[in-house]
Formats: sequence, structure tokens, C-alpha cells
Amino acid sequence: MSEMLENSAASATRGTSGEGSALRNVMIAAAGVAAVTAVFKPREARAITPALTFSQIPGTGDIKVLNYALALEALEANLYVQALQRLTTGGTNGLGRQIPGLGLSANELDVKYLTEFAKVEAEHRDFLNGALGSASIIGTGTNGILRNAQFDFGLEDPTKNSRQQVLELIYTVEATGTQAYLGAIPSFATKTYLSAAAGIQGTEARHTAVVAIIFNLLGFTPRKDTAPLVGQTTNILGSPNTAGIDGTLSPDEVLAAVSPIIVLPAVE
Amino acid sequence: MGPCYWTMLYEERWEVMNDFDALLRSEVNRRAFLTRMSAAGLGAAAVALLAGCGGGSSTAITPGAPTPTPGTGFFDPTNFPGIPGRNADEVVLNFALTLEILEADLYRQALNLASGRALSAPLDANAPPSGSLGGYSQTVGNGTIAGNLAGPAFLYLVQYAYVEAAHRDFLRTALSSLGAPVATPNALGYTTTLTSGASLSDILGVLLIAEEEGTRAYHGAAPFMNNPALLTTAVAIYSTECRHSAAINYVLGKNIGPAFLSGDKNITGAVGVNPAPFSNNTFEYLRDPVQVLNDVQPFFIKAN
Repeated sequence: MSEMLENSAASATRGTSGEGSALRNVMIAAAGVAAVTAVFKPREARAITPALTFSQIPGTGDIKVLNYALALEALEANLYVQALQRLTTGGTNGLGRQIPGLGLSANELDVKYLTEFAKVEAEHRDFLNGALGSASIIGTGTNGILRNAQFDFGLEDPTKNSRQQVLELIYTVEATGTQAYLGAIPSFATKTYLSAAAGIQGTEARHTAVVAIIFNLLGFTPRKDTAPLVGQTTNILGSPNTAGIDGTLSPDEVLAAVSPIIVLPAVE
Repeated sequence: MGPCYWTMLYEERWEVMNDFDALLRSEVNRRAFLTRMSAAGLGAAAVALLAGCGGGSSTAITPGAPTPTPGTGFFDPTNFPGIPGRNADEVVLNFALTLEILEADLYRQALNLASGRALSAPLDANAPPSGSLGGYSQTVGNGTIAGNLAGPAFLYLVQYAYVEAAHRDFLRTALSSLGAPVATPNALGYTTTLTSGASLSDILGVLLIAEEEGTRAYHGAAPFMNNPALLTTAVAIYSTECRHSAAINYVLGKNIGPAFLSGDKNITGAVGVNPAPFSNNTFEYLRDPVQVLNDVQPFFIKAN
């Protein structure tokens, strides 16, 4: 989540940005819940704090894993909506904040692909929500702890959301999604949903690769890799990379990073 | 991540498994673990495997639905014909290794072809750093690849050639560490339809077939696995194949995928595109291992 952290933290922490950033180093060194939580500064009083833990995700066994995945897909789907508002004509997010638009046309590479990916992420969300039915974390049942949740990416602030920064945010969230599914696999109680989960996870990996390509084509630096490479000691989000294989993030690591983005109504 | 999960390869050593969480948090316990691994003749591997371990769970995945078909057992030759292994996880890893050996060799040949080297040349010793081509330079035409994408296209060819070789070596090392039988390369090697006049788009078009087949192979074989750590590692390799596929599709001007190909299964196990209302690119597709092994046969050089 390092770029996401950078986006939402004070600009002073950005420093030289990219691979040398302090936040990234924190992720690399610790990759721990405490470290992530400590550097993340929620700017919304109603954001979830302290961070959710996997033990608090409703349900048991497969239901719990699917609800965890659904929380992330709901976040991702909403990120695309807001990111596209920022890149194009602007709009109002679910928190009622005005996001000023950068005025990019639908033909621009990033707008074109983000529009496609937005649809995919919404379908992932809807698929999981449908599979969970009354057990859904965003549903109206007793499991629905996030049913009225909104997502605060801070995209209303034009000083922190250049085109490059928006793409960095997308890249980081997609890369996080890829690793989050991997970290959640051991929590499945059965293999019933394994194929579906892997089927989603692979698409997040594809999205990450394509966002990297577009980021590089637009001339932004430091350039991003499409995949974990050989000879790198760490992969995209700082977890160990020994053989060009995707890393994992545990559910608690992921929830610690995303909880400050998740905003619940003041009165349930 | 990978290394961490490979510690759990030693499934039969439950005392080690039970200490897993503790050893992650304690230098003393890490040393004790390494001592025990060393005593078991697994020292070097264990050191490598332990590097950078994060949290982990040894929660068992109960074998359950969907039971892959056809066949009911992991040793059923209709599922993994000719693939060695003493249990389901080893068979799947050897299935993966069989494909990674193929992919790595196809990439090696392809990179040689695209850079004017002898087809038999090995990869240069060290993988170039991010963004660098190392000692390689493109000597073939771009073909149908757009001018601004030829640079990235050749870069990915170089990068992924090393990644696929690393996947192969990683699986070999893991299987050896387990004391498992290890799949061997095809005795007569591998071939493609590419000729010396091939363009960069021709070359990447062939590699794309292997990459997309690889995504479907891992996806289809994963449900056969039982050890959650090994399963996670297999899926982690799978998602890198998805990345490679997306990038190659992109530079070739194709749908970045996952795009339905004739013969694919969807996540419900049905043969065909994703169920309505979901669109083509929403879920990765899969193929049964036996189908994959059949699909890749044209790359295997056979005795006449």
C-alpha cells in the first residue's frame, strides 16, 4: 500500500518518492500491522479505527474469506469510480465531496483501461455479494457491517492527485488485491470457492501489469514493473521476491492498510 | 512470499509445523528450526525458505468440492498422465514444473531468435536489473507491434525469460527438498513453428500461447492440491503468468484478458464463457491438466 500511504500522508513524507520512500522502506522492513497502522494517518474521523482484523470479518470458514474479499472488491470498485471522476470531468463521491476533474478524454489510455477495469471490479463485487447472499458483509443481514460504508481515498484534494498519483494509487490497490487473495487462500475451509477466488486474483494481476505499462508509456517515473522480476530482493509491495513470484499479504496486514479508507456512517 | 511457504513443505514434520508461528517471532526459535532442518539434511534449503517469512497459517484445507473430474484420485492417470509424485501436491508441482521447463526453454529460444543469437545459446548469466536489457538487443523487425510498444515488448521478452527460468528452478529445488521425484525435460527438447524470419510480434505471439495456457493450467490444477502453503505458492506463480499474459496481449494490441479461448472452462466448471451477467474479462479461465498436457504436445520434439 505504499503509494496509497504516500498519497494520503503529508506530502513531506513523499520525499524522493518511489522506491526509496520512507514508507516503502517501512513496508519492506516490517510489513507488519503495527508499522502500517502507525504511518497511516486517517483524515476522516469516522474511518474505521482501530483497524479491522480478520477475526472481526463476519462469518466462519469460506464465508469469512469471501466477506474479506468482498470488502476489498467493494473498495476497489468504488476507487475506480472516484479515480475516473478525478481523471475526467469530476464528480461527487459517496461522502458528498466534490472531486475536481483533470479533464482527460475517454480516448486517453488510462481512462480507457480504467473504465474497463471499473466494470470488472464491480462485477467481482456483485459476484461475491451474490454468492454470499444474506451472509454478505455489505448486505442487510447481521453480517452487513459494511453495508453503508463509503470509501475515502482523498481524491478531492487536487494537490495530492495528479494523473501520476492517481495511477500510482490504482497500481498499489490492484497489487494489494493480488497479494491479498494469496494471503487469504490458507483461510479457506474448503476448495469450493478456490477456482472463483483464483479467477478473480489473476485478473487483478493483469490489471496491475497493464496499469504499469500505461504508467510507463505516459512517461511517469520511476517506471513500474509489470511483474516481479528475477534479481529483485523485494517485489512490488515490498514482500520478499526470490524467483519472480507474486508476494502475499496477510488479511490483517491488508485490513490494517485499508481500514482508514473505509468510512462508516456516524449512526448505524 | 514463496520462501516462507516452502518451509511448510515438510508436511510430515508436524512438530516443525506447530512451531511455525513461534519461530517467525523469535531468533532463537529460527535457529532451532534451522538446526532441525539441517539435521534433516534440509539446511540450505531451509535457510533460503525462511528468508523473509511473514505471518502464516497452517490451517488445513479440507479436500472438498468441486472434485476435479474426470477421475477421483490424484494418481488417476486420466488426470495427470505421466506426471510423477508421491502425493497430490507433488504431482501438481511436477505438472507445473513440466510446463515451466517448457516455457523457460521457449523463452530462451525466443529471446535468442529475437536478438540474433544461436537458438541453442543459454541465457546470459545474470538477469538484467529492472528496465535494462542487459546484453540483449533486438535484431528482428517489430512485425505488427506498434512503434512505441516495441521497446516494452522486447524488454518483457528479456525479463520474462529470466522469470520463467526462475520458476523452473524454484520448483525443481522445492521438489528436491521434499525428496520428491522431479520431472525431467523432454529428451529431444522443444520446438516452435518460428523461423529465422520471424518478427517480434510473431515471436511474442507464440509465447503468448504458452503463457495463456500456463494461466489455465495452474488454475485448473490448483483444486487438486491439499497443502495450503503449496497451493498458495502455486497460485502465486499463476498470477505472474497472468501478468505476463496481460503485458504480451497489450503490446500485441490484443484484449489484455482474461479472454475466452475455445476449449476453456469457466470458474463454474462449465465449458464456455463466463455466466451472465458477467463479461468476458471478469474471471480467469481454466483447463483440466490432461487437456493442458495434450495442448502443449506440439512444442515437444518427438522421436520419429
